[in-house]
Amino acid sequence: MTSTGGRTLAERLAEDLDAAFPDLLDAYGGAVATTARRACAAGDGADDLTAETFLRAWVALRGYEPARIAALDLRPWLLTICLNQARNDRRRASRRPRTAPFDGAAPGRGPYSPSPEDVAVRRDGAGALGALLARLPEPQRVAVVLRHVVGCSAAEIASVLGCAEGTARSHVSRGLERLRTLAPEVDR
Amino acid sequence: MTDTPPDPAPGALPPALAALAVPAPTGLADRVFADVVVADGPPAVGAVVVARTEAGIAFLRPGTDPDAWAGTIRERLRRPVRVRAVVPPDLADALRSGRAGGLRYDLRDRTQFERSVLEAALAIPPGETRPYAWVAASIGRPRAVRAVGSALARNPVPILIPCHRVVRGDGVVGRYLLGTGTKRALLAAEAAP
Repeated sequence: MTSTGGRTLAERLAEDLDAAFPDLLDAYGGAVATTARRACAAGDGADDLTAETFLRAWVALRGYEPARIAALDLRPWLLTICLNQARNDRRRASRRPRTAPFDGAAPGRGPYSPSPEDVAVRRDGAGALGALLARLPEPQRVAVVLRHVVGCSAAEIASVLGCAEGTARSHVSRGLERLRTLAPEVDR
Repeated sequence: MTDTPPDPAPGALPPALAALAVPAPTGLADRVFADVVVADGPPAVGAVVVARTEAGIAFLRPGTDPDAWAGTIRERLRRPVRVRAVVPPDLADALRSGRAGGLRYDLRDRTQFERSVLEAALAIPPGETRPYAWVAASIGRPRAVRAVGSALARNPVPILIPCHRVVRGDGVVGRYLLGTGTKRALLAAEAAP
């Protein structure tokens, strides 16, 4: 927990939202950016998604009672906003009319199989592992990224995924297993 | 955090995964906050409160107290506000010279029509005026003269986007969102005919 003078960041946000907001960016900007890039596979759009997450968080916090803000578990709350926003962005993008002809690869493509975004992930220096992550089913990918890239606890992952902690743990281990099958060469 | 999920094969993937963490994007705070400054406006107006987002200047009103406008700015721009002490030099220059066409503006909350009207007004140099009908014609909507007036009345960045340089066709100065007296004084100071 980030605290100043014995008060948590959530308590300071409850007291003066705009004054404490820079500290929210400092404390969780990296966690949100990492989630945007790795869990949402947002590729080149990850920076926009990160900024949008904090703007949405601010709008939400403005509407909350101080007691509700003070009680928030900020990291999983922010990461949930980030994942929801990414889903909305994808939904909006998929509603846009297709500009390219239907290609043979499309039927097998789930929302997270390799896509132009994954190519962007590959380009950003993370190499094959970042692209392979994007091929995991969503709950597994989110669980693995939150646990092993962001460093969240099982309780935080459960809160983000809206599931029990045991389920969160099993998403993490299944995700790791699947990654190992996909990529024996990146094991070490 | 107390609990750690068990790792089925410690030492294999997790260190490689940890290396995938990325830092917050450069300039994240600039993309989230609206920066608010108090700057010197033209003598007819005095001090002005100006708000700027990462996309450009989004708001201007006469005033000396940024906190008095902070609530309005938050409401309009839907983002947190950061009061800055230093006026960006390009903004100070534009306010001094009356030539503000080179600045970037954040007009995302305006309609496409309103943006066109404001962009047309931005092209009118200091010392000159244009009739409402000229603005309507220049954006390809010659019959929308009244709508041009409404769009100018909703100018979020008066003075910089010089809606005061748009006047009635019969030579009457016309209405202004900061008052007709202010419009007349601004035009007189710019030595408009």
